[in-house]
Amino acid sequence: MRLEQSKAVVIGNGCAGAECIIAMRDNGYEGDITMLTSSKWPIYNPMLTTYFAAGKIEFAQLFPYGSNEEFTKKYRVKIHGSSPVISVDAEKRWVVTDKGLEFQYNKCLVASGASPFLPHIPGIDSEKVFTMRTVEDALRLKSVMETKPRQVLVVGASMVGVKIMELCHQKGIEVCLVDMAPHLFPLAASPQCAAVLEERLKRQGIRFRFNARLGKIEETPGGIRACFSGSEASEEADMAVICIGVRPNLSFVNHEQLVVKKGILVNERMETNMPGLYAAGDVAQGNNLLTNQKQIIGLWANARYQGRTAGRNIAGKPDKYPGNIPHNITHFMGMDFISIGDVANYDYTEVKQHKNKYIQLFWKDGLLSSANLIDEFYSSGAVKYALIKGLKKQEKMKTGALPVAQDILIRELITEVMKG
Amino acid sequence: MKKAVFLDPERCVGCGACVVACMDENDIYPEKGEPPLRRVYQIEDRRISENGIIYISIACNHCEDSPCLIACPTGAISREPGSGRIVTDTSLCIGCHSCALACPFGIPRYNAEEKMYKCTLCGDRISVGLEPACVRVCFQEALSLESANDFQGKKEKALMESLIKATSQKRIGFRE
Ligand SMILES: Cc1cc2nc3c(=O)[nH]c(=O)nc-3n(C[C@H](O)[C@H](O)[C@H](O)COP(=O)(O)OP(=O)(O)OC[C@H]3O[C@@H](n4cnc5c(N)ncnc54)[C@H](O)[C@@H]3O)c2cc1C
Repeated sequence: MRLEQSKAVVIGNGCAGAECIIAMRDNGYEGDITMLTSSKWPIYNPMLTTYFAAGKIEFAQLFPYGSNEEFTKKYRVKIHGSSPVISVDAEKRWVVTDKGLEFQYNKCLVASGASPFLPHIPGIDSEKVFTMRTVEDALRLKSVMETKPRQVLVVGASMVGVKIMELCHQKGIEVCLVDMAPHLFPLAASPQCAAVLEERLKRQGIRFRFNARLGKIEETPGGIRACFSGSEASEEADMAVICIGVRPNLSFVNHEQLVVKKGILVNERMETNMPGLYAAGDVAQGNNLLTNQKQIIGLWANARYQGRTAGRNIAGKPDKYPGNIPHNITHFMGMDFISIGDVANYDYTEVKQHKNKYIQLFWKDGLLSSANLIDEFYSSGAVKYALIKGLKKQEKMKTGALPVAQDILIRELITEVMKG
Repeated sequence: MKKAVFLDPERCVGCGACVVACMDENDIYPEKGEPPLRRVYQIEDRRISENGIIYISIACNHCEDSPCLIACPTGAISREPGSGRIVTDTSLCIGCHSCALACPFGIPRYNAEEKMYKCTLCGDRISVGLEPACVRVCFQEALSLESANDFQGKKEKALMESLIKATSQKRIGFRE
């Protein structure tokens, strides 16, 4: 009798898919691995697109895992580029691509990532409307920058929005940043912290327009005109970049088989509800340690951890990824904004400011629950870990070796600031 | 075998010899605005030790599963095969500070070109069988080059448990 050879299919060539394959091979998985992706490029990092468009890195640096040839050779994987998956039948364990390629799998990882969300409004498909996520987006934005636009409208006061703002500003382009929210980083920053950031940006010449919901984009001879719901005043610019968040790529998923909320629900092993089917990265909805709810936490490191966890489990090495908390550091326009946790949900907060540093900590039920920091990145990791360890402690979860420096650094951070 | 520098906080007297040795070995000039790779913190708190003062000498721990390496968007941070040291390829560093938010110990620092730098575990020294400069000068023998998971790790853990209790559940009190 012949043992059936195990076959694995990985959908998507982002970091989640890549880490899964690396972990499978590192843990002794010997079967065939096929990677199917809509992208024609090697494994890339979406976060680097703005750095490339700004001319800060070379094209080759968009691909931290090297060329497809190197990756294929090192990890013995067959990569099918420009081959988007159009259906996954998780009962028959069957994957189909748009070109009609079909694959039977024992194990499959869905790691198809996310795409920029575009509102359904007139004019959104104009050639003068841009987004930022893929290699194509980066090439397109870079080439339009070479035509030397004078004014750019950035829609979305998000982490991506401010990076676009920065790259335009550095090229001497006038920027207007609009958002329907009342302030900068509406999800990540407290109103007080946002006010500080906005003030600094205004001084650098950035114009803001908040509480403005984009209703329509019209092409003008020179560029675009953006109109806002319930407002007479429109904005004119040479082009617009839409950065109002992302949605997971789920078009091929059978919702009768898979439990999907915002993303595909996964447990600590990155398993979905269907046997043999895993999900990781921006398409997966894993644990938020802060809320104990399932949430998509769309971060590079999170996608890598999840992909690795899936890969280890697929290879037969049991592994759990307990989850993460929302956190981000954005280095832009000569400053750093850091958010950790959920700033909307607290019962006590303290703010300390000294020179360029701004520190706001939030507590909920006596536990540190979130932080907003400006320009205090040295201690940000310690604050994040203290917060997570505090949560774990509360839940009586098994704590790993606790880092020696975290509380010291929080204290250090506060005394530094208090020195005045 | 993978080794790292461990601290026995019960032995550290905060003399700072390790910091000086580190600066000397790595040609760091604080007067030029270059932050040292090893730092010593003094913590005064009755809740953490009998006499209320402990000293923590700290630099990169070359963690087993390094969060900075995972968070780095470009692959600038990697683990050197063999030695297990966490090393930085500054030509790939874009100065995004992702590693700062990833590191529980507050280790990464950035030079004038916005490139991350940190302790390299004295690669030149350990490759020829010598101890890192900080370990060599520590007359208290508080710092030692050990393989991971030795008893120091357990000691650190116990210390941290009490530290966490003392601070993370309390309002730190800007107003005190
Ligand atoms: C401008 C920008 C800045 C960012 N900044 C940060 C930051 O500072 N810090 C941070 O942590 N994170 C940041 N992120 C987020 C981070 O890049 C993502 O969380 C991470 O890359 C997600 O990885 P992934 O593997 O899940 O998905 P992706 O990298 O999106 O990869 C998914 C892949 O799947 C492919 N695919 C899609 N549909 C299909 C299909 N039907 N069939 C086959 N293949 C498919 C796509 O081609 C894509 O290559 C940023 C993102 C952007 C866009």
